[in-house]
Amino acid sequence: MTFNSISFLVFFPATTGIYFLLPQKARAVFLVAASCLFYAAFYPPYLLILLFTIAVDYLAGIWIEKSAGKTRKTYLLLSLAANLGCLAFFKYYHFLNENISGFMRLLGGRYDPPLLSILLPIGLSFHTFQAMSYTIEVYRENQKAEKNFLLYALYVLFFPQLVAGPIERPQNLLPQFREKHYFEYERVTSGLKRMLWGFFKKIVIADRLAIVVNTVYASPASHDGPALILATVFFSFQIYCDFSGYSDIAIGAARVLGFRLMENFKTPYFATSVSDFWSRWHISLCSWLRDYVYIPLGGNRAGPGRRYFNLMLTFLLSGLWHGAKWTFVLWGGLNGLYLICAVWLRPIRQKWAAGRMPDFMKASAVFALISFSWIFFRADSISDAFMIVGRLGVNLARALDLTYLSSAFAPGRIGMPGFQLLISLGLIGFLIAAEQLLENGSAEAFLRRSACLRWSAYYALLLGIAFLGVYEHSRFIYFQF
Amino acid sequence: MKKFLRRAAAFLLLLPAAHVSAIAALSAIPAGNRTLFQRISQNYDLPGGIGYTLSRFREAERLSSPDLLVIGSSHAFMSFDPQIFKTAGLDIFCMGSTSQTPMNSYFLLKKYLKKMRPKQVLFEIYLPVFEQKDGIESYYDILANSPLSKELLEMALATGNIHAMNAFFGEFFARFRRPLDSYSERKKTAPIGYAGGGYVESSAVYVPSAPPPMRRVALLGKQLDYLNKGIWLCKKEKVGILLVAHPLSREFLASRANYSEASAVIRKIAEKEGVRYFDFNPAPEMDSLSDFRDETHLNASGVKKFNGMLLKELR
Repeated sequence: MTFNSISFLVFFPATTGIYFLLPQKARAVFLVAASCLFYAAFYPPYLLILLFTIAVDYLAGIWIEKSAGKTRKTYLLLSLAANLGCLAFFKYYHFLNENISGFMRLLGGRYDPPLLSILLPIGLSFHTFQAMSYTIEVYRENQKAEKNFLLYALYVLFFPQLVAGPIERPQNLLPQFREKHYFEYERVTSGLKRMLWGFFKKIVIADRLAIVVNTVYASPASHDGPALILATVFFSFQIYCDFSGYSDIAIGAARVLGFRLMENFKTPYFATSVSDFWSRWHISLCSWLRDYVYIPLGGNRAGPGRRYFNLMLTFLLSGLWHGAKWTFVLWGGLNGLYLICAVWLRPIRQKWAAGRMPDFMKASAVFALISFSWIFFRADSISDAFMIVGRLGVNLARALDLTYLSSAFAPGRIGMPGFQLLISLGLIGFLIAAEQLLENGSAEAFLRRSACLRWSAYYALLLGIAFLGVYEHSRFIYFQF
Repeated sequence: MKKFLRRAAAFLLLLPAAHVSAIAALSAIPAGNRTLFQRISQNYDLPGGIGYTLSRFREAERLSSPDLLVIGSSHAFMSFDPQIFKTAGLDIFCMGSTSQTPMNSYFLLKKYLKKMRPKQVLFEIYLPVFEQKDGIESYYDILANSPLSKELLEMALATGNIHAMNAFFGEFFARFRRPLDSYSERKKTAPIGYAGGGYVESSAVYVPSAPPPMRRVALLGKQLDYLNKGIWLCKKEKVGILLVAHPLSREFLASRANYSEASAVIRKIAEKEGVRYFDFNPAPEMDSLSDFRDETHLNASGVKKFNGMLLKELR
């Protein structure tokens, strides 16, 4: 079930109510059952795949802890093979075979793998990575193996973060399942507020911007630079509001139940460098890749050449993690390239830009670079992505010509009437201002002044969802990963 | 927990009041020829837009006891010519609206059946509308062009779309500013015209371009249920029932892989309820180029042929 569905509006209050009414001993069982129901609502057989990897990793954790030397490593490799095997089969089977077939054709040979109808389980990449972090941490002796199967199952299945993260670490989440959580007014309302903000970002901003993005990206050849730039900028905000909105709902829902999930976004578009951006965007995945891929590869401890290689490999893997398409690999590669250039040019940048360039200009430059890379992430194919890049400059000089703009941005062309477009731009402005105020704490301080102000703000957000919400493009983008 | 429940209850109790007050406030602000609320709302048209729905519903308000009430999508007001039926001694009225689904038809019947007292209701069957989950397009069309009523509010609820509810209250407040009577039909550019009796006549000719993409018809249970409800309502009011699928172009039929399979579902409902169902597809008598204005709508020449065929069946 998705967060933005009517069924979740029934499921969540019912689950919360029952959870707090139950005695502590029964709560874990109940949360596992509720999480299974939540996940099975997508497609019940998905649950079997999940239960298989849970059983494997649970046993692997115990065996790793009990054994020593090479046997430990064997158990770890077994667990990783089971997880990555599932991921490879369900997510990369067709991609691998298509590419092998293409390569064989190039060599004049043939490779005809069996055609299988495989349905990718929702959020497979997320829970696979979370499960792998558990066995790796047990292997590294940073985490004791969980003996209680139910608690380990809950670590993977916990419904707020099951399908799209944050990808939690066992050290943070597992101990919380043993704690007793009370119904605390402040914490519960703070969780609900966080959820409300997440719903607003998803339903009002992300899904509204998606209308223009989907229309323009469906036929990029029929649009010029201004429309393509508008759609790309809209996509930058769409994907942010979609994914950070999901994370807000997940963190908020967990908080209502008494659990603390890690933050996944920290106003990434305020970043003043590309590396700063990647320390604020999808933090749980970036830190996972840093801890389990980049650092084991040698990180930045080796020479510059090796460091660049490590960076590029990590980002290529990050691209591939997102999806079995070359567009994602290119997107990852481009971001890897940005970081390599950033490291390489650091002395020059520090000398030239230090103190001269205001932060908002740096943030704008980073936003432009990141938005450019989103073209590869969003485009339907590599040829579409390059076509968009090639057309970005077409008629750009006419971007201030109102007659041209009224035709380029006509409702029939971008899928949105002018007034709705103005609302969308206004919402982006509102988002930037609100995130700034939330980050520096002034929004909270302002709202603390009176209950009337607080309630007005909550009603405004709820009515914003009712009046401006878009209900047609309801799936979260990151569910496909 | 008590404190939370108390405050949550107060918050939720005040929410509907805040909702309606916000719509009233936004409706009090003019924005061009609409209210600010209407500007903010999506897919919202002023009265007198496409399809002559304003003229049709004005006529419907005054009408009583037609022999045949045709209800359904735009095909319902473009496929049945009252003049042709008059020559056969039948007084008919077409109560179609853009993309009208069986759900919309049901609530329209609820509103007009008792008032109008038709002898027979003809449910125009156009299978693609059975694929719509909410019927919101038709709801907006009817809402903008007809008097507000309890049945329209029920229709809004049945769409399951919050925008439909917003639009209902938005229209309620907008009509204080400008009543529905003050509107007239906007000028249409297409070769199309309102011919009375709810019927819209078109002399346009279909120019096939690229063949429509091949797909399957997937009838939704919700719309089939509402078709059943509509039939039961007519039976309750002792009104005769006919189900009619008008001719569609060869190009359109070729693009629906399972048309006959889907039509059989409607036939099954008709048989179960003991009502007559005529599906005029495929119709070899009809010529795509001269009898249609697009893939699915007949033009005046096609209507003449089709109405002749239907009257022959009804005799």
